[in-house]
Amino acid sequence: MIVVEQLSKTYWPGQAPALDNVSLSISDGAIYGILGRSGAGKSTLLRCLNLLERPSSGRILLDGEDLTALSDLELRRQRQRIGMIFQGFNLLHSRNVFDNIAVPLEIARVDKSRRHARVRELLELVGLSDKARAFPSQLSGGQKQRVGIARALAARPDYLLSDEATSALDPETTASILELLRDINRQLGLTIVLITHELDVVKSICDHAASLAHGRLVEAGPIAQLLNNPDSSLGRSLLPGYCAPLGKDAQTLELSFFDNLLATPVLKELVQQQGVELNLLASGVESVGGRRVGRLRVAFRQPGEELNLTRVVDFLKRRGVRVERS
Amino acid sequence: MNRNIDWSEIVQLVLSATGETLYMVLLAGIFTLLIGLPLGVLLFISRRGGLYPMPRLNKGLGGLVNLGRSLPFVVMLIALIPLTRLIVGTTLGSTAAVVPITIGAFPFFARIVENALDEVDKGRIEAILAMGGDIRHVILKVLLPEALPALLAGITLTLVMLIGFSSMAGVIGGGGLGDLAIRYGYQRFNNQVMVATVVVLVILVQSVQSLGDRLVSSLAHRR
Repeated sequence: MIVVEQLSKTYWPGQAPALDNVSLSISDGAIYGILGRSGAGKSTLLRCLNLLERPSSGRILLDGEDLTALSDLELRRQRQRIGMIFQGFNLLHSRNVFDNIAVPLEIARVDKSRRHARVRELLELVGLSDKARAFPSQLSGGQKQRVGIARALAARPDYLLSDEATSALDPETTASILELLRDINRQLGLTIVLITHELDVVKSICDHAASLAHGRLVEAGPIAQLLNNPDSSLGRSLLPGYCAPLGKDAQTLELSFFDNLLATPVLKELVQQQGVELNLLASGVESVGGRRVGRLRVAFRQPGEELNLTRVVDFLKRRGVRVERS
Repeated sequence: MNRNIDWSEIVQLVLSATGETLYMVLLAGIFTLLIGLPLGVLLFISRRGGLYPMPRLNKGLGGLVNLGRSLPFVVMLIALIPLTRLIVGTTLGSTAAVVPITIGAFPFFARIVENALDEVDKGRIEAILAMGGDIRHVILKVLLPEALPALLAGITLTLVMLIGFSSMAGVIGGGGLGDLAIRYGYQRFNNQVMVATVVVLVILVQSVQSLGDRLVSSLAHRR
């Protein structure tokens, strides 16, 4: 469990802080996504988690142990429990794939035969057994990130930090890397903290999300909760087919259906019981945080009389539909 | 004045002078590497914001290195005569020449090392720190291996410079090809010896350079 307590980081005195009093907790086994635009402070936050960046104030508790209070030696030992992968991969070009993956084991003084066995295991895990003798320059971006992941896992860490690990990759490769991360999370019970500016990354593998803006934590929580909370702008942005409202329209609603509700004829009942007519303007179904979510933009009309939209909203909410007015 | 000497005598002279030059370059090269490499690493890691910041030490060493590089080598050669006598016991001969040559070359090489290390991607250093590595791991697993092609190119450059320095050592009687050129080519106007000296020096420099280039590109090839 990682607990961040009132973390602040100021690079230059007098300048706006990169992080401003951020607190959050990341429970074991989670895939925790931190969203934010560039400059929002998410990279600083992630790098504070293994103290690559020393916070100006605040604490980082790793299973109750305050990293900021450790000696150099103890800190290095704790860092062996935290793997990290990077946007730019950061592989050593002087070593081949096999020897790159072995680096954390060399640092942890694992003896040669166990080191070799472990590296072969990891090559298998990331599907690169045939590339063991290749040098990083001979690999594609996706393969390099697989090596990066294998290297990060070598010393059997409990946590994995991902610094925009898929931002330099094409969509297909991104999908395969994310799938690998999810497998690792499930198979090894590894807690993953990732920062990204891509909503799709959070949607496809995260179960928790937080958003940062101007160094401050805006929202944080389990994605299921964020999605159900009509006041959550992070939750709204994670819903499928999200687009900015086209302008005030008193007769249009945004409806989100979760899981079982997708198969229930809610709209049909609405039409039959309330006598309204509806027009489907946009729709989409996606998997978000492991749940299937359908989202519709619907315009309503009541033939012959004034539309009572409040009644429609009440009906839909009672049936468990998430409703937003445009 | 211009006594004619036969070719076998010239070959003899040039061969032994070449031997002396190689001796000076090799010995001074080893010392330059032994002093310059750690110094370059120290200059790099002690920078402000570096891996192990020691701004004062950095400034002091930097100043010393700049001082060493600002003196023309001929001046240093003569200025260092007392030091040479202290270290070697004599100021004449090839062994004595190694002292000023080394002192003239290692500051230059240290800067080359510092710059080569600076070219190494900072992210790779960070990756090692993130996995729990210490400064020794960073130096031995990242900085030196990753900078190896640039370091080899720097060593080649330094060797060529050392050949030049060793020739100048002839001014203080250091032996070698420079000495030969001064004594026969300049003081006795013997053009045959002069030409032979020039040819040998050109061949020497060319071989060092092409050997270095080949090593660098063979390394760069697999990276």
